[in-house]
Amino acid sequence: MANPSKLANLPRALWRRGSGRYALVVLGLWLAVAAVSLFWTPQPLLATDGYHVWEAPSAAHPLGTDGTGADVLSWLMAGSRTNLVIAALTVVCSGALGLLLVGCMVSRRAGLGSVTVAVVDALISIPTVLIALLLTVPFGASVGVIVGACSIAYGLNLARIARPAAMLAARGDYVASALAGGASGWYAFTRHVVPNIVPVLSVQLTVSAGTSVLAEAGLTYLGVGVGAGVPSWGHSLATSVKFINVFPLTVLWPGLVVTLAVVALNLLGDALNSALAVGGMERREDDGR
Amino acid sequence: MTALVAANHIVKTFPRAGASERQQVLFDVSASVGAGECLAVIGGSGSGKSTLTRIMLGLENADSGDVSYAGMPVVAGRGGRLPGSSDGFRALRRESGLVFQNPFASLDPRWTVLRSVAEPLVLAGRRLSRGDAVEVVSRALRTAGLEPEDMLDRLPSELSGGQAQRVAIARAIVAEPRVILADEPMSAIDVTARVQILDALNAIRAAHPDMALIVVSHDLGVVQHLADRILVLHDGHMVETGPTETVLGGPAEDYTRQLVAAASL
Repeated sequence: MANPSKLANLPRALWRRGSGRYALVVLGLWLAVAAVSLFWTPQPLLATDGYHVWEAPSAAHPLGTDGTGADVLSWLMAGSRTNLVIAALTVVCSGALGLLLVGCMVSRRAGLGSVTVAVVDALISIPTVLIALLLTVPFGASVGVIVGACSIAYGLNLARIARPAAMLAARGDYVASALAGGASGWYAFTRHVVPNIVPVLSVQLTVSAGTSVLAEAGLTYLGVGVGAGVPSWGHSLATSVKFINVFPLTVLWPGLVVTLAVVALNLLGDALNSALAVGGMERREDDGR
Repeated sequence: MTALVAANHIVKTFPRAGASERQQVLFDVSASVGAGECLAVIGGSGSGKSTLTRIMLGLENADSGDVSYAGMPVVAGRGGRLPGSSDGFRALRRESGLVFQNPFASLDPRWTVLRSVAEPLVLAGRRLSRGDAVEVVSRALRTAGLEPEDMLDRLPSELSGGQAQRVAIARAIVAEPRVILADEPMSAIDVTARVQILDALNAIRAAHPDMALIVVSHDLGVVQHLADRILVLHDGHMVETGPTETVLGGPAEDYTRQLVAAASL
C-alpha cells in the first residue's frame, strides 16, 4: 500500500526549488557529457602534440591543451565518466555501510548498539587520506581505492549523523506497536526507521558524492588516486596545478568543473531534504513555511 | 466471569540510575479482565499502572508472578521476541491491540491513515487487495467515529489530536482483537476531543461485545463512563479493586477516597 506516485512527484518537487533546479541542470549536463564521451570527444584522448603544449583556447581546442598537447576539453569530458562512477559507487557503498551501522546502533539486541557506537566513534577519527594510503599498499592506486576509502569514511560519518533520527523513529510508539503486532526487527527497520531518516540520508549521501569528487582530486594529486592515463577531473588538475602561475587557464577549467559539480550535489541534498520532508512534495522552498 | 487475561502476584523492579540496587515498582499485584469487560487501572503518576498493563499484554516481563491469556501461560521469548515464546504469548500478540497516550507518536508520520490502520492486517498475514483493505479500514474508522472518505489519504500531520487518536483506535481494532490496551488514551487530547474518544471507545465496545478493554487512566471522569471494574494502584501496591460503582461510589480505602475527592465526581 506504498504510494509510488509520491516518488514520481520527486523530480517536479525538486524542479520547483531554485537549488533543485540548478542541481538538476548541472547533474543532467554531467550525465549527458559522460554519455556522449563514451562515443565522441573533440580530440582522441591519446592524441598528443609536442609543438602545441599549454595552448590557449582555440577553435581546434576550445579549452586549450595541456603539457602534452592533449585537448583539455576531451580529457574533462572523459574524466566526467570516472568521477560519475566514483560518486555513484561512493553513494551506494557508503549508504549500504551507513545503513548497516545504523541498523546495529538502533538494534534492541543488548550491547550491539553501544558496541557499534563505540566502534564508529573510534574509526571515524581516521582520515580518508590515511584509509586510502592503507588501501593503496595491497591494491595500488585505482578508482577502487578511492571508492573504498570514501565509502568507509563517509559510511561511518553517515551512521553517526543519521543515528539520532533513527533512534527517534526506532523508539517511536508506531514501531513499538508494529513489534507488538508481530513485526520483525527487519520489518520495523526497513518500513518505519529508514523511510523516516531519508531526508537525513539524502543530504548526507549527496554531500558524500560531492566530497568524493573533491577526494578524487586530492588523492590523485597525492598519487593514491586514479592510475596514470585514466582520465578524471583530479588527473587534469594534478597534471596542470604545478604550472598554475604560468598557465592558469588549464587549472581553471577542471577546478571550475569540480566546483560546479560539488555545489550542484550539495544543493541537490538541500532540495531533497526539503522535498522529502513530510508534506514537502506539496511545499515550495520559497513558501517561507 | 472467566478471565481472558490474568496477571497473578506480579513483582517488577527497574534498575535505578546511578545506584546498584533496583527500584521496585510493583509489589505482588494481581489483576484480570474478562471477555467483554472493561477494566480501568487508576492511580497517581508512578503508581505502576502502565507497567502492570504492559506486563499483562506481554510487552514487558515481570520479575516474578505469571500472566495467562485464555488459560495459556504468556511467556515471551528472549528480549520479548516471538521466537522461543509460548503459544499464549503468540496468541496474545496476535489478538491484542494497543492505543498509546500520544496519538501523533503512535502513527508513522510518513504513512497515510489507510496504510497505518491497515498495518495490523498486513502483520497478521492477511493478504488483502487495495479495495478490500480500504473497505476493512473504512469500517474500522467508522466504528471509531470518523468519516473514511476524508481520512484515508491524510498524513498524521493533517489530523487534529482527537482525529489522530481515533485513527489510532481504528488501527487497534482493525484486526478485530480480543483485547485492547488503551494507555492514558485521553491525557494528550484537549477536553472537547475527549468526549469524541470516549464515544468512540463506547461505540467499539457496543460493536464488539466480546472484546476486553484495559484502560489506564488517572481521569476518573473517563473511567466512570467506560469501565465495568476498577483497580486502584498506589506506589506499586494494589489498594482496592471492584465494580466501578462500588469503588467510586463508596471507596473502602483512604487513597481511593482522595482520588475521588480530587476528581470532584
